[in-house]
Amino acid sequence: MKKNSPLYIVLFMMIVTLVCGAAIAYVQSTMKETLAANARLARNRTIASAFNLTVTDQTAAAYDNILAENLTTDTLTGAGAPIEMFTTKKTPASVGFIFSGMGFWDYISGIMVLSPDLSEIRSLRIIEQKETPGLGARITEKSFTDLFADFPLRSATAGQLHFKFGEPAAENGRKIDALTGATQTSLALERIINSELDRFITAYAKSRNRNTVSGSGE
Amino acid sequence: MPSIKTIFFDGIGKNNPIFIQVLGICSTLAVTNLLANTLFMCAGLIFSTAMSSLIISLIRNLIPARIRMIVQVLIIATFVMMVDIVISATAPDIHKFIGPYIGLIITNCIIMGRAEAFAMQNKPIPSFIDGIAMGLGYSMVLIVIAVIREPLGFGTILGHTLPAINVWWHQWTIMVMAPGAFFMLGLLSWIARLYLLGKEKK
Repeated sequence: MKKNSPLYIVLFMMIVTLVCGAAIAYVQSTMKETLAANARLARNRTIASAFNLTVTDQTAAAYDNILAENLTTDTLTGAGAPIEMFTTKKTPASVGFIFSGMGFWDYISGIMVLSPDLSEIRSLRIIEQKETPGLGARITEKSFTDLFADFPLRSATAGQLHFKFGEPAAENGRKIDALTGATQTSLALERIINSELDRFITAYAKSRNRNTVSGSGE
Repeated sequence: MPSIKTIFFDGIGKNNPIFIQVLGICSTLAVTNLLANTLFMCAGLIFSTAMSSLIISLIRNLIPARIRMIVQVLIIATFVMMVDIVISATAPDIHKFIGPYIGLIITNCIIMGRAEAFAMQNKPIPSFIDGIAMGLGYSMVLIVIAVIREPLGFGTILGHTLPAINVWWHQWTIMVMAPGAFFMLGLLSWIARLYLLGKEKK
């Protein structure tokens, strides 16, 4: 068969692609468990950091323990996809939830910790993102996420605007500026925060109503 | 054909991919503010360049000329993906910082350049040596830059605090940022080219 014939080219590409794909799949499958453990540790680390839980021993077991000791995990339903919620067992009381939404390039996920009356953000951390390195990816930097510490929301009612970059919740209040050079990521993050807060507020209210109803029946 | 020794030393010295060929500058600027990141990036590039050059050279007579670039990219991408998975599993904290740049090895001019200019025309062993030499030439420059940038920018080396430097040196933020690498690379290239090309003229 001639090297430049269409059939040879197609067959050659198919074989090379198959071999290359199989090689990557093999490496991926051998590392699968380690990768999953690393992802879990990174996630737990971010959750612990959002709730200001300090861990001296940086092992996966230590993070599992500290989260189990300090947080109750629930799944909220009734507002679209289920929402993973965390509630502190000790004071100061806070509620947190995992948020997720489409960023500029790919999905952004993170955790937002709120005061129990949902009037302010206690902290916000990013768990996963694939934004532009050096620009949008700066949403993970501490200097940026620290700006959300104890930041009042404009409204704790579903359907209303909760947060806007560059605008304070109340007159003369503190404001958070969007990231310079990362307008699209900032806009996406603002959209994610508002839509996910909407979902959380709705689901949280429904879960509290259910608890009240079941509580009054006893 | 040049000897294995000539191929090896040319890659590090007078045919250095960064100083002489001015290739692979993006990652040079991005990952050299910490030595640990640099070492992982260098190991990844040496492996990817050497292995892709070896495989491309092995099958060079079978590759149709019309699709040679696609095949080269596919083979390079396979090794880069493997490096990415291994670093992500073994050093997740380092992967968090250099992850985006590992993917960019696929389009790194050094690796593509060597595949097209050397591996497609030479036998497997010289191609493999050329890949290692080019990787080492790249690594040598990156390590020198990182060894200067990390102490000046962070006051540390491989994450360990340098007490001597912290007494009298105020950490130099520009060394942490990409412009710091630009200045360092410019200075080092100037010195290296004076020495390497100057010697050749004589």
